[in-house]
This record gives sequence, structure tokens and C-alpha cells, in this order.
Amino acid sequence: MDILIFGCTRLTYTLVPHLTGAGHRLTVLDPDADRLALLQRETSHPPVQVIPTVEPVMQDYLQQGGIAKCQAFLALSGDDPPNLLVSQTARLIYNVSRVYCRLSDPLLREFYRGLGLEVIDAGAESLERVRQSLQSEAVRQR
Amino acid sequence: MFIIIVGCSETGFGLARLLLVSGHEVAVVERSQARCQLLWTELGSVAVLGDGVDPEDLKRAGINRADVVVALTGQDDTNLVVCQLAKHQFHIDRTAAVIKDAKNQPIFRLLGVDLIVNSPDLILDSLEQGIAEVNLRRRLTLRIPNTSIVSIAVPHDAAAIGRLMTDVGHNPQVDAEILNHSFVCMVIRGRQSLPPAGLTVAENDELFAVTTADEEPKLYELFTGVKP
Repeated sequence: MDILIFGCTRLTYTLVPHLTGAGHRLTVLDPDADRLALLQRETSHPPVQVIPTVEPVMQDYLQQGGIAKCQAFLALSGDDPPNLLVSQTARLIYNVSRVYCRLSDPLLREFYRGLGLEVIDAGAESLERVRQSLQSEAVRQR
Repeated sequence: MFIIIVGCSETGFGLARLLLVSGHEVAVVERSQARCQLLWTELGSVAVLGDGVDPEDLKRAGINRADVVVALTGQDDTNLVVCQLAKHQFHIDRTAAVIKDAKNQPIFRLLGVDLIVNSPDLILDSLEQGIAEVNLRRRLTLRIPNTSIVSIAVPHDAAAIGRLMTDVGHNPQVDAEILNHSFVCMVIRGRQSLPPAGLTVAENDELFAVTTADEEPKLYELFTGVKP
């Protein structure tokens, strides 16, 4: 499936090889071109599409990254508020069926879980859950 | 009223001062020690050093008894989180935010932010209308969908000149109204503001009218003789 990832962090590096290995098509957005280049070098087969986000306004980049037709959206940046803005945009404006939002602040995690957002932290358990969930979805689509 | 402002930008500072002068109670949540110091020096003990996306800091500012929360941090994403916390965790009736990216307006509206001020568009509108010679200015976009207040300057060669202000929207040949949702509410003539009833249209009149997106071009054409 097509997966759009916001944020090229350690979490992204960990998750991306598993996802490309499972046959998903990935696009990653991040303001840091060096981090994106590193990600591309580490996962050359199959290639990951990357989009450097020069301006802090995100909507155009989300569209460029194919948010309108992706089946899953992951907000993995290290900053909670941007993750929340793009995740909720993905879920409510673009109706992406699977949206995962990484939050570092435990109070915000609890609050947004209460609002129905699929919230993850940076822990191994969260990653495994995302991986399995996307895997089972891919199997069902086949 | 008790108003909590999150973010002491120039706008935040100005709003705090304005509200205090009108007799309201204000608390400003601000992350920077220096900006807090400025508030303490200039406006008294209104500043709370803290982070507007931290519920504990909002509590320290007294959010549990606040009437309104205004998010002015300068970052759309932070402003959204502030408003969502205010609305859903602290049950604040009225939340307001300034946004920088106009494309974020739909998600803010969908998530229940009551007042969304789109700052770049406001500035661009003012600049465009101030620089270019225009006969129609959009003065205020109302919260009723598609409805706004506009002002129209009557040019010297308008066919409407000499007709009764209240008759311009009426077609006498078929005795029908051309406009159903637009009406002139005030006329500026010279330095005076006048009610439209009984006035005839004159050159250089500036008309303030309520209109809808559908009828705005027709209204403009009726009073200026120009198709927009």
C-alpha cells in the first residue's frame, strides 16, 4: 500500500526497512535534506521517495506526498504539535483510513487517545504494533 | 470576562493590554522568561511562565474558570493543540486562534475552533485594497456562510445615479427584485454616514451593503455599471 510518513527520525529509520521489505510504497517528508539522503542510502531497494519541506507550512507538501491517495499516514517527527496537526488533517480532511501519531508527552498521549486518535510513542512495543497492523492490512488487500 | 492568551507575541501583548483596559481579567501563558518579564513590567502580574500545550501550565493560569482561550503562539500546530485542550479537557466555550497558513482553516474549523483569524490573508487584503484603485472592498466576512459586508464606490458615470437607493435592486419592467439577499445599510456621503431610505444615488457615494457570494457581482454591476 502507499504510506506517507511525516518526519525522518530514528523511528523512521527503524520502521522504513520493515515496510519496504513488506512491499509498501513509501514517501517521507522532512525539513532536513541530509537526514532524507541518509534514509535513501540505507534503503535503496526498493527506493523510498523523499520530499524536503522547505517551509513550515505543511499542506502543500502533504498533497505533493500523495496524502489524497495513501492508505496509511504516519506522523513520526519528534515534535508533538506538528504531528497532531498533520495527523488530524490526514484523518479528517483526507480521510486516510490508517493514521498513527507519535507523541512524546504522556499527558497529550492520553488526551488525544481520548479524542480517538491512534497514538503511539517511540517504544519498541508501539513500533511492533504499527508494523503488524500495516502487515495484516497488506495481506488483506492482496 | 476572564480571558487566557497563550503566546505573548506582539499580538498577544497588544490584546492583553486592550482587554485589561476594557476591564477584563487576563492571564498570558508564555514560554520565554524575557517576554514574561516584559508583561510583568508593563502590565502587572498577568504573565504565567509556561507552555500552552501543557495542561498543568494551563491550570496554573486558571483555565478552569476561564471564559475564553486565545491561541497566539505564532505556530499553527501549537495553536491547534491549545484550542483542543481548552475545548475538550477544560470545556471552554469559546476558543480563538490566529493561523499563518490559510489552508489550515478547514481542519481548525472541523476541530471546533470558534474563531479563526487568518493573518496573512487579512494583511494581503488590506494591502491590495489600499494600493489598487478598487470600487469594491470586502469589509467583513460574516460567520453566516457566504455572506459579507462590502463597500462600493459609485463612479461618475454610473447608470444608477439619480435613482432611489432602495429601488436600484428592483426591476420595474417585470416588477421583480433582482437581488434577494443583498441590501444597502449605510451610505457615506462626504464625511457623513446616512441611512439609505429616501436617498438618491449620487456620484462618489460609498455604499455599505450586506451581500452574498452569489449576488455580489450583480450588486456591483447595478451600482457601478461595470461587470466585475
